Amino acid sequence: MKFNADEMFEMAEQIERNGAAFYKKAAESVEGNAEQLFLDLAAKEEDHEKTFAAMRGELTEAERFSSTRDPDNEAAMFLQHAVDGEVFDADPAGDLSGQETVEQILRYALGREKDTIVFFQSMKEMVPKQSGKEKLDGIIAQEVGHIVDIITQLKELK
Amino acid sequence: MTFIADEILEIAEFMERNGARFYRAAAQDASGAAKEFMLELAEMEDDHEKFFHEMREALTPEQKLPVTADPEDLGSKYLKSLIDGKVFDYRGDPLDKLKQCESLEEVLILAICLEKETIGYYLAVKDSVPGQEDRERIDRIIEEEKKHVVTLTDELNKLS
Repeated sequence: MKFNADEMFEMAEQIERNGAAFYKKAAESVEGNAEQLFLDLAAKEEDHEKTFAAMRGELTEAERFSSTRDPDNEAAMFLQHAVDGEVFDADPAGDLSGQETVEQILRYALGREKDTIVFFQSMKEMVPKQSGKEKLDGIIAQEVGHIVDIITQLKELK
Repeated sequence: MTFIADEILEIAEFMERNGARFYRAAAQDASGAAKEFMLELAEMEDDHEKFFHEMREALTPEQKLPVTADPEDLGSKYLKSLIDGKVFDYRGDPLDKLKQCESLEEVLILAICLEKETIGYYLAVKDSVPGQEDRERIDRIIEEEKKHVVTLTDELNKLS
């Protein structure tokens, strides 16, 4: 068992990059409010990716390569599996065929956002104290906001 | 917009009860090590359900009163959506989804999804539960649910 803060932030960047790609692709197959929502969410995920890249850049050498090796630490094992791409969907955009209904895309997006929050909440417990826990809280709050927006859009479909 | 701690904990209790039902039903169709760990996971979910039930029983009359929250606050909106079942489909019967699984691999993937839903719910509502000690106990349950995800993922990897 070995992973470090650098890998966690890299994974967070990847999640955000995947999220932006997913929303951009989703926006191509819908129109109106849903299209605007997906484009807005894509832009927000890109901002988050930049934030994580900056946070990663601010890691000290010691933080960057400090490893968690405790095999009994469930949080560490959970994140290790997540970093390995075994717990969360690695390619959400690839799952879209372009034939889905707006509701299907919104429900898929909801699942993706929930996964993202679980990963970031878990990551928050493991990152070094100085490495932007508050920024992570801010990003988690924004992901919660995405869920609220998606649910609002789902309600408008009915 | 109001929230009741009892309602938040009742949903948690319900999710654990459904989790235990899911693992027992899945164990019936499995054999060997898979059957054994699914029965173990069912027992752990039983313990969690009991814990949430006891937590509900221990709520004081004051803690059972509705808490008014700002309807414009993002966290409040999210909590409301959670309780309404808009974010996590806790009202759905996981056995219905289990019936659609055609292999152990599909059962394990479904189980991982259900565990992630549970973790997501607990992380979201934890701060709305009165009592620091209870919040810390919920943290420990979250860690146990994460361990379930690790166990299920390891089993999934063995199949490939």
